[in-house]
Amino acid sequence: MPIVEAKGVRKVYRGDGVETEALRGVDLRLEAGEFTALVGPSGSGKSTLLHILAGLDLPTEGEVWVGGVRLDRLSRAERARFRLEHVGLVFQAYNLLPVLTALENAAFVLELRGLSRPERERRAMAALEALGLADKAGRFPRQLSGGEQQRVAVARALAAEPLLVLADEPTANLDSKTGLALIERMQALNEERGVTFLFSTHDPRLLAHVKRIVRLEDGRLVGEEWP
Amino acid sequence: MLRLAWRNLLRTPGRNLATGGVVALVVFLSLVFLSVYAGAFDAFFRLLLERTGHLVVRVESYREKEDLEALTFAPPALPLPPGTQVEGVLEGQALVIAGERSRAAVLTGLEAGGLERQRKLLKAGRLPQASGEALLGEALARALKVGLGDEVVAYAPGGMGLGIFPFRVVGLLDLPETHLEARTLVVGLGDAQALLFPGRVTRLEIRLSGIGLYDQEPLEALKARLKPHLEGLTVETWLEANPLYAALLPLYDTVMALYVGIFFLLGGLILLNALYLSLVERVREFGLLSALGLTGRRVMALVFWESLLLVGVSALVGAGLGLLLHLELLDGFRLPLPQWILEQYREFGLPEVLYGRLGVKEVLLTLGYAVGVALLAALWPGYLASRLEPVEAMRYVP
Ligand SMILES: Nc1ncnc2c1ncn2[C@@H]1O[C@H](COP(=O)(O)OP(=O)(O)OP(=O)(O)O)[C@@H](O)[C@H]1O
Ligand SMILES: [Mg+2]
Repeated sequence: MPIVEAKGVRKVYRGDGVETEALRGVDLRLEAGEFTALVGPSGSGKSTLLHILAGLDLPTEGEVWVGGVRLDRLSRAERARFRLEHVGLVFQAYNLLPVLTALENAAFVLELRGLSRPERERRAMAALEALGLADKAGRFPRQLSGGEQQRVAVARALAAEPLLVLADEPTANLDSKTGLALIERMQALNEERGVTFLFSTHDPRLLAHVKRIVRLEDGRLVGEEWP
Repeated sequence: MLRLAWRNLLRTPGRNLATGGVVALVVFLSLVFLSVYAGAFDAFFRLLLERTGHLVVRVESYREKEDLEALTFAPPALPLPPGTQVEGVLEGQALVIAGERSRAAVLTGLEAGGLERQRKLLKAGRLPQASGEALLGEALARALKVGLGDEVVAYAPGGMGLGIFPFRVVGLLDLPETHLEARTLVVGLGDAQALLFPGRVTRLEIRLSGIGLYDQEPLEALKARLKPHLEGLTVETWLEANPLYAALLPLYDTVMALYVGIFFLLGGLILLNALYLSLVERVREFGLLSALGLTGRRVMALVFWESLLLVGVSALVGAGLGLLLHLELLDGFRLPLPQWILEQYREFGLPEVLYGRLGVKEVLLTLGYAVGVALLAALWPGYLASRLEPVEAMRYVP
């Protein structure tokens, strides 16, 4: 069974009398253990698709299955609970709560799930170590570089052991070297631990590291590559 | 969650200190106000109690009777617990004559204890010590053009007494109400009975010891015990005997709740403003929380926790300071009012030194208001935060 299955997903934004068709019938399957990049020009619908797969937004039409659950049939609160339990999210920026340390941020999802403090700190610490941040665990986000902040966000997703990690341009705010380092970390996690990643990017140099590239243009999937 | 709420508060220390300061001030002022208010209220009612006695025995339906004969009675023997004081009072109309002048007055005959209670009102002279001595309202003395040591004659025909009795003025009384002062003649009970009605009184005042100011239960119990011994007579508690003032008593709670409510309303608006600001500043963060998987309800809970923490800590500080000041008020205080208001106060017969009172009820009311305001003020920002769409919120530019 695929981890993600989108069938005929359409998304129309309505607002101020303007209708924008961001997705025009997208079909996509992801299997466990994939390491996939979502590429396409600006405005092609990458963010929209990732949001819908994460249950952050609802499709106008079509079905979205994640881990055997039909997301577009769930209520707002049910989708929130589903994200908490099963989806890791990394955004372009503002990923971390500024009042919590790196360790507390990495443990935050586990805290929300109700894990005991020693248990969640053990797992968060292990995740920080996997991302090479063990020595920065006690720092607050403002004391971390942009790359380190993004790695903490990945560590948070990793510690939560989700079905899959969705990342919307995780490297967009980083210089190319730091961005590359982040993708290499993600790649290692994918290879060593089988974490499933789907991330969008504009940076062609990152694509050398992925197993699969999905190309989106004007709201349609226009091709796939397996480099 | 609590830790997150707490750290979020520490993030804008200036604003939260100011907001917390207002809340603390509101709690503080509310406690001090309640202490002073209860103190003034108690003083007023203690005065009323002192004037009336705990229980009053009079003839049945005395309010409808006018004739002195119908209003008086021979005091019956009553089974009273030890430590109880009973005093007879005889009150009747009399014409007071001094030389060529005369005035209608109310003559009141008091026993020793009753006379002693007049001491506070004594403006000049002394209390009557022997038969034939009288206290005169100052205004009445002025109207009759008499002073200390002068003689007046009380004329009250038609009763079973002598109908006429000479008195020497030994003291002048300063009463709160001038129109009463112009009609007041106070003498010993024996003299009053000789003049008006030998052996009779118009009322018996019963005073108990060792019961609380508003404690009505022992009074009702004693009332029930006295009933069978009072043929043709009626017994009332001091509150029943003063229905107009007794009607004020239930207002106490209403006024208290209302005043404190107004304080808290102002505090609540400032709190609401602070919570709203911190929501607007943190829209992106609330979006992130929602994206990570907090349900609307839990996002709302976070806002509530922040509000409760802020108010809780501030209320504790305010309550601490308020209770400290209350301990001072407990030992007695003078109202910090301008002299002319105090003058009116004294006219009314209220003491100048009041004693603060704070009951558990008052403290709980204040803290209850604080918690209520914390929840109410968080309601709107909390609702807004819970309705934020994660994607839009994270894109929000403050
Ligand atoms: N909230 C919204 N309301 C209206 N239109 C929107 C909204 N969000 C996105 N769109 C539109 O939908 C289309 C797809 O947007 P989306 O953000 O998914 O593109 P993207 O591929 O992520 O672009 P980029 O690479 O610049 O991030 C765009 O035309 C955009 O203008
Ligand atoms: Mg995008």
